[in-house]
Amino acid sequence: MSRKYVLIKSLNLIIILALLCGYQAISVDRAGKEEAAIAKAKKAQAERKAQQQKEMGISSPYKDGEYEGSAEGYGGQVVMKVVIEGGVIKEVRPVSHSGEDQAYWEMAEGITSSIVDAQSTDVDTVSGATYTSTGIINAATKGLQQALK
Amino acid sequence: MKNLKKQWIADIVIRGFFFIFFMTAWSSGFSGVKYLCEQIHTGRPLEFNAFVQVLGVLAIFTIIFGRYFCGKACAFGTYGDAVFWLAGKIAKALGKRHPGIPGDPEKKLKHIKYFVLIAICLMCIFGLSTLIIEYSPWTAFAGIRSGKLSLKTGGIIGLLLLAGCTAGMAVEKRFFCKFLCPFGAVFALLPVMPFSSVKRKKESCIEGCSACRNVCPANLDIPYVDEENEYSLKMGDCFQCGKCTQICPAKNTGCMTMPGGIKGIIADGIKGVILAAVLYALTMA
Repeated sequence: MSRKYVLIKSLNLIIILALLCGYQAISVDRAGKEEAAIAKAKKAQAERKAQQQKEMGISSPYKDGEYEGSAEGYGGQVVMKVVIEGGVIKEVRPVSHSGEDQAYWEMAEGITSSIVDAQSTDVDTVSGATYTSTGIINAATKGLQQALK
Repeated sequence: MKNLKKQWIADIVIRGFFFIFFMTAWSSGFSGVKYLCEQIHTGRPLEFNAFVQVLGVLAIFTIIFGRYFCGKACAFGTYGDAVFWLAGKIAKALGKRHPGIPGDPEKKLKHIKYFVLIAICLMCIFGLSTLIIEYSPWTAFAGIRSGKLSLKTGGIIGLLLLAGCTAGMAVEKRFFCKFLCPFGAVFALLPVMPFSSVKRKKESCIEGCSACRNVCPANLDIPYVDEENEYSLKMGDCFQCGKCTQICPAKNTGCMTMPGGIKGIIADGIKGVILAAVLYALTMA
């Protein structure tokens, strides 16, 4: 029966999905433990940096406020808003990205939290959504430049 | 055949629609495959992100309806058929026969796409995925359309590969799709539901006809109903274009989701609407 090949391919697909699920279970468990350790280390590092700056009398290079910057994404201009509060980058928000394909935008917009974590726009682009990522990074950079004292 | 003509017109509408509005479906879906491999490389958990969602949706659609995506919605497939048609017109105008690859190239060459898929997956799993994006002919193709062509080495090589694929598509129907497309390899491995697998009845088949095989872009031998048929594995290469169902003089070829005749053309339209609605919900809403 031609059904034989449907069964073989179904079995093949199920095996692949099962392998992916197995991998997922292991990696989620590992990532959970990793993330707790990383969050702790980041917090300690941020606290040390703040302490250092206080001791040396260095203040943040940024003025508090909201700043917009725009840059070329894949299909047009990407406009991002950078929010500075207490001298640190508090938030990076999208304002407009009409030229970006939705799937690529969803992939790339996670970069905003990387920028806040790193307190810098010197972050990696998202694989597979390079142009959109670059648009976000450059737009945020332009915003940050306006925030400089 | 009047039906073939009607289907040709319906095709232009459906394929033009997907070419204009859903050009990135191929690349975002296949990026899902690459993403899964890249995550395995870094040992990180797999997220059901936008790329993987497109991949999942296309895979489910293919399991239910067969490789309709390849046949009607893929921008590269439409590009290939347009190139082939144009080459045919040029050959005719020059008074020459449309050149082709001699013999039955499908038998051997069609397996190359599985090696392309495996190579790409391995490169991603071993952390070399940036090379792929740089050198991919698809990147060049999308770059030309969006005006974002990179002229670094990778971009030039991608352009050359694109030119090579274009030349192939000019002389052989669906050259890239049959022999090289890694996404096609993924689809060909999926278990298409029997009600979407094209078959013909042996008793109504006209002796010595082979119209279906001749019109098929993948040169497939349509399997007979209810027969232990070694060729049914090859139906993984069927991309639901429907030409066999429209050309059969005995109206003997088809399946439930692709019945031939006017019903078949309407079915094509309905499948297109379903696919477009699902892709729209994922990528634009």
